[in-house]
Amino acid sequence: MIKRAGRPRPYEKYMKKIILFLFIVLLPALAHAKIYIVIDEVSTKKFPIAIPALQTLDGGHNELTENVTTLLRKDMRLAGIFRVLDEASYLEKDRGLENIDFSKWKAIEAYALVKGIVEPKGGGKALVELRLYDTETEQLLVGKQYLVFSKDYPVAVHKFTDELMLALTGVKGPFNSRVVAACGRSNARQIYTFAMDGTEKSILTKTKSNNISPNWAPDGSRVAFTSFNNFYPEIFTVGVDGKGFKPLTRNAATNLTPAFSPNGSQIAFASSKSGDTELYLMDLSGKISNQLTKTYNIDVSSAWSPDGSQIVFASERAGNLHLFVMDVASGSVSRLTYTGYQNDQPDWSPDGRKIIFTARDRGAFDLFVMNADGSLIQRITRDEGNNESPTWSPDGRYIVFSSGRRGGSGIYVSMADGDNQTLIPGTESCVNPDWGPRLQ
Amino acid sequence: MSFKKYLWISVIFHGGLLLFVLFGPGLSNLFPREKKVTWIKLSKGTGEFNNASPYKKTTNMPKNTLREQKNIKEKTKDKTGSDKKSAQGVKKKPQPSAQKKKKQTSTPIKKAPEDKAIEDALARVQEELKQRQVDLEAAQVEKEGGGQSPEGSVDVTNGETNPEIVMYVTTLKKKINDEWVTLPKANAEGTSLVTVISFQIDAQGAIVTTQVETQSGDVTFDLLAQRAIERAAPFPSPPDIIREEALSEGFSIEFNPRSVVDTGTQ
Repeated sequence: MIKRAGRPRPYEKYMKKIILFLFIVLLPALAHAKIYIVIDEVSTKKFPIAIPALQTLDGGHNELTENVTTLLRKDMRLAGIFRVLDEASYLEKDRGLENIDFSKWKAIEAYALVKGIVEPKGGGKALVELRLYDTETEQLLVGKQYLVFSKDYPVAVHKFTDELMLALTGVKGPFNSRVVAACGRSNARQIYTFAMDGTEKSILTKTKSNNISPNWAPDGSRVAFTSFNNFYPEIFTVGVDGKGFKPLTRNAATNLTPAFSPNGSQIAFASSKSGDTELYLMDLSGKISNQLTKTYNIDVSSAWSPDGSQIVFASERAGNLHLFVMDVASGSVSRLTYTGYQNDQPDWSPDGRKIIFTARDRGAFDLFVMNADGSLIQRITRDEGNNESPTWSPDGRYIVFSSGRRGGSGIYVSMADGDNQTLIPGTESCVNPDWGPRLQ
Repeated sequence: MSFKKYLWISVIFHGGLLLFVLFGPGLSNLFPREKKVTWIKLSKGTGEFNNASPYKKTTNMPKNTLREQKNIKEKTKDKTGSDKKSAQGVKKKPQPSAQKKKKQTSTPIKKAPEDKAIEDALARVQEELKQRQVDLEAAQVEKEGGGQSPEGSVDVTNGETNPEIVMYVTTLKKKINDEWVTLPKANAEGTSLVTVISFQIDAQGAIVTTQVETQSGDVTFDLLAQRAIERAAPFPSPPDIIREEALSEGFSIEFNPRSVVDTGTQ
């Protein structure tokens, strides 16, 4: 090819433009970089939920619809993870179960909606129908009907709340369960059971003597406790219906802190029958099957691991009361706490990972929690009087404990980290709570 | 001659077209290729970058309650005051990142001004992260006598070191986290809901588009994550250095909730 001089060729003129064009087009591609951000902090905001007033089938309101609505809202707040939206903000009121305008609930940023009807039936009964909707997807998440005696409406609310928590949190709630405690005058306490919101209260013992430190059988059918009914503090048992009150120990010594094994066949307890307070195991007839400890110091407050292989207890063998753990099969003991003063009243979490206990610190008893291997002791209460006898809910998300504080003494329920501490109504004179299993 | 000329033009044009199709904006999805992704993983907000355990060990029983430790300080309204405080913090103890530390031990060279800037920015980020009202405290952090390694280490992988970008991303993260209300289910043990939402923002910091990049399998969880981003907008104007990318590529936010305070064994 012969190169020609002179006028520039037309394509040379375009060439520069083409190259420039390509450069501009490809520039963003070369600078390609997407910024990736990981958010793994737990969102601590409470989940907004709307609970419009329940109605009868024909759209009316009565005392029962109001009671059910009130308790439902109260239990949602008690659950500690929901924010019940103020009724005044609701854009849709007094509509039945059908034809929900979800846009009106989304507008007030209710992420979930509870609707329901309470219809009186014959024989003092009522049909309670409750539904949970996801307002984003407009899906029905839970729909349940309960036929209950009108006075037992809390049972319907508890069962539904547990289902609601299963749908929204992935784990069933603990509302349909009972707490047992010793209530009344300080030297004549009786054994009571009640739900975590204070409803469904019933009395199990009617003695003239004092009854303390009750503990649930794992099936929820019975309670074991220390009673002074036979003058000496002996271990007794009674059914949840108040029947079958009978002594298990008859040794005329001090017998304390009974604890049912997870399979329900044995009870661990502390007894001074040998002259020194030691831990023993007995069967349900009261026959001692095993002496667990043999030291010259006090061993008390036993609690079982959920698998029944270990017992955590408080012992003075190291000077002050400290927590120790025993392998039940081999009897080998290892020490859990080295910090703290008067560490006592341990309770093992249902998942087996945590142990909650009481310790005296800064002049008061407070609650602490640690890993089951004794690591990572963290504080739950402070500057709120004395807080004692902590016990886990069956789902492990809540605790109950007794508290003597200025704001009101009694049994408190809170989230496991101490959030949302609420006095259970009607428990002002109660101590030594123990949270029982879920009921059917 | 003239045929050859047009042949050249044609070759260049078609070559250009091919390049455009391959690398041009919008069409690149047709030809999947490796993307450069800048990962910015900030600590969980539980404390130091260079501390293996977020817990301050106490010899006696811990003084702070779990409840207090959970509370994050609201950003101080008095801006000058808070700025002053963080500036002091930077001056007093510019905490080097773990990466930085490693560098120093291996090659003890004099600090370049850029390194200093990075250190300062990281210190400032830390200051922001230290927004808990109280320290995370625990006694017997390790099992006594056991010599077991402490749990709950803080991830220190930090691909991005440009202080401007780190600061900006921290701000994004905080704004989004403040608006994020998620399903209580997401925090429950055993559930692992993870969603990735990407979004592009313009020079003013307004959101242009949002997309769900990776679905968690739970529609509501995805929607709530998307809503958090939308509610957090508008964001501050992106720094010049990433202004182009903020609009063309944008950001991917992975929502991956885990329990922070309550579980020491996780």
